[in-house]
Amino acid sequence: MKNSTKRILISLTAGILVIGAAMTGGCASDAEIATGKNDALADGGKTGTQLWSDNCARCHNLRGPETFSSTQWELVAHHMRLRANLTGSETRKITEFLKSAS
Amino acid sequence: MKKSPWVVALGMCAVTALAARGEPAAEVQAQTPGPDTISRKDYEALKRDHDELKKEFDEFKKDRAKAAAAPAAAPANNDAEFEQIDKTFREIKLQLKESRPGLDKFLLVGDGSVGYQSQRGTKSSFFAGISPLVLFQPTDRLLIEVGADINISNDATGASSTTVDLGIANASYIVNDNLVVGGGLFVAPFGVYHRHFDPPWINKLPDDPLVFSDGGLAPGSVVGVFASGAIPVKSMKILYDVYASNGPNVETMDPGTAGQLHFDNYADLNNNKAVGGRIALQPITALEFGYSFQYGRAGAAGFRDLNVLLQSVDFQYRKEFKEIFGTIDVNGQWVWSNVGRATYDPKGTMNFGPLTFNNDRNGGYILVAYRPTGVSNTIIRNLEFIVRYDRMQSSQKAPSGNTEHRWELGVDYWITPSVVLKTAYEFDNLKDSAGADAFIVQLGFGL
Repeated sequence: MKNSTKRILISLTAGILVIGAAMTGGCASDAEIATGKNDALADGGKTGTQLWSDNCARCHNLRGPETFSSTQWELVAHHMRLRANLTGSETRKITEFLKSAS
Repeated sequence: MKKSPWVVALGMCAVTALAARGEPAAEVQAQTPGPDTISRKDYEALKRDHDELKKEFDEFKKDRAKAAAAPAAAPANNDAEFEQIDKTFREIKLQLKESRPGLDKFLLVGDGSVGYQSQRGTKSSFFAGISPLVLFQPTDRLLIEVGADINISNDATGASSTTVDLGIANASYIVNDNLVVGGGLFVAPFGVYHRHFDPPWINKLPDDPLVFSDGGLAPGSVVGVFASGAIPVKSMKILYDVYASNGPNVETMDPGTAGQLHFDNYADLNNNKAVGGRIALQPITALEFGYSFQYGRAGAAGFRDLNVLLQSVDFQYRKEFKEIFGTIDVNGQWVWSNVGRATYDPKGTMNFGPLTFNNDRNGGYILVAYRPTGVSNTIIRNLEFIVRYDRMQSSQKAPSGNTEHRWELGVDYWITPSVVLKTAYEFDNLKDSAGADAFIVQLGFGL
């Protein structure tokens, strides 16, 4: 592959990053990360229970809310957000459901 | 002083007059101190004492009245003080919590397996391995992951050993709801198998597909930086991952593997980094399909760099159907690996060259599983039936060029959602020691 093609690929990668950040309003504040803006309306209005069932069960059996403590679920949710490409609102809703039921 | 006779006479007249008015004798006597009377001076002193005592008594009564009124106001003051103290205490507690090293945001998870394998042409053996994963979240935005694969094995001489391979060591930072960035040693987002289905308690069969096993076509963990996230578009969701990492190494010395790639390149051999990524679409919740690529320059000691392009398509679908009383799981991935043209063993010193070829390989798998989740009987509901087809094709020009395909049938029993007992039988078209038919039993568990 020529250097020009390589540059195109790298530029494309960088472009995706920039566009992705721009589309979503750049860096969110700590409060937005913790609580979200319009979580109730996001994800088609789905509840944490629905999102938990839809997203987690796609790859593996559902582990019950009692499997981990509230604090532990926060770590697991962050980990799974990376693995399963969850959005922030999906992660918050799922985490809140698991924490409330744990 | 000598008294005048007029004064004496006046005094006597006055006494006579008073006597004539009939004044009581006692009053008259009071004017003159006696044994039962007090003097004016004493009287004044007593009166003064009395007034002082009365004044003190009045003050005492006032104080007492104040004290009696005080209890009504005290609780309000105490409540306010207690509330303030409690608030301060909570603030200090929060500050302490936030400044702690974070042991309450520290979690050990992971997975492991134990099993038994019997393969034609080789000795049967038990096996075991564990992959602990440590999660540490110093802040709400930052996550640190460290994971290792600990396994037991025998080398070529038959000597037993334990291997510990660091598989994950990275930090990730949440930028916003749709973007996470990070760096370190991470599972490459090339396809979905290694990221989604690799752990023994998730993988429905006891071994990996050919393209994701040792000597396969896809990268596992890579060292570099990454960004990932998802963007909702109406009822759909677009998933994206991009990364830059050390490029793979190419095998040049071994005739059996010449032209193949080694992805565990933790120290790059050149300055050309690999770039890659995956973009995927979830049109409905149950379905996801994606495309991945990785481009880089593969290096080897004493060998010129080669262009390497990896591409992959993947999909997964899972849905419960009432008509068949159960859930269908289907997932698959196909990978194309192209390593540039090169001449291996150019001087013939390794007894297999000179050999010039492009190492173009491809392969993939498709897995279908059925679990009767709609059946009321617990034992039947915990069973799962799996079939997987694997294929991997190497360049026929390569010394080890061939085509391998394998059917694998399995039956699982789910003891808990994260503990599964698996049995499987492999039918392989290759009949050598590596590809012969095999029977495998495995207990997979998630920590």
